[in-house]
Amino acid sequence: MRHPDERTELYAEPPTVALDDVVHQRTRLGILVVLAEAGRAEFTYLKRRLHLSDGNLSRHLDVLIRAGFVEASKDSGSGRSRTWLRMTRNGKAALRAELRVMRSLLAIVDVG
Amino acid sequence: MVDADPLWVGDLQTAVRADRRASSIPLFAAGAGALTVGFVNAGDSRGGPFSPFGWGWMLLPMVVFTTAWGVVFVHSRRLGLGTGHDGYGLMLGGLATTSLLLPFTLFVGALGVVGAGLVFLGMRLRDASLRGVGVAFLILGVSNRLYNLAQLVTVGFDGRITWGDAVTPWALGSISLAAAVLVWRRERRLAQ
Repeated sequence: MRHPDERTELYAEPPTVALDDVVHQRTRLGILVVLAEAGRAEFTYLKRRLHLSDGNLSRHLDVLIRAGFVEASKDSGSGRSRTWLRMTRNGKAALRAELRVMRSLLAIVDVG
Repeated sequence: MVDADPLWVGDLQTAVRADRRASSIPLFAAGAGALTVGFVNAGDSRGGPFSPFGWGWMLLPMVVFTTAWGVVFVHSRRLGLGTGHDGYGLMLGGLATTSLLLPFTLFVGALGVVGAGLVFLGMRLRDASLRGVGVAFLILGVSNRLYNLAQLVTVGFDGRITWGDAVTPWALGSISLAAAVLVWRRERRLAQ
């Protein structure tokens, strides 16, 4: 088997350079994975599934919305206002790229 | 929360899928549909909607998967989720074309078509239980339909419900419901 130091020479630059900090942060990655699986999700579901506080989730959603990866919409049906989040096309592309980098990292990292 | 490694990403996706009950609901629907056919056929030995070439067979796959989609939709919305990308729209369009516009069900049998639908969902959701039950529906459903067609060719069709027309739906319905209960329990555990 090739030594890890030798294998990194195969790459023009390390795969980690391709990681996008907006997506790679674990909470934001979790939000995108939930939205990719369900199509859309309500604020309260994301909060419960990812074990986050209102403020923490809002802060991460702001980052994703400002990056153009997620869009929010309000639904006031059935008497209470609900905030639905949906991943944009750019968000899907960013998540795909993130997962691709993760896979390539797994392929070259050898932890003995 | 654990670090964002690929395994965590996979676990999170599995948990959301389990929350949606994406695998157990179609199994419950297929099981209920098959048992309904078995029940109707057991009490109606001749000329009913589910006699070998009755009109009921044409509608069964559409009813099963429209019901499954409807329940997934209501359940997911109540939780605060969308319906995901299970491919129900694609499948229902395909079923409408093959079951209603073409005499596809005549040759494959409605239970075989339900099996094909379960296999399709199992491939989309990467779920072995859906694929396994789907294959059982395909094998037993198509076998029963081939027997019906052989009877039609050799001795003619008199509208009578054969032993296989009653027992096959009971067997498949029981298999599907048993699998649905097991999968539902697994989903409940994974969703925690």
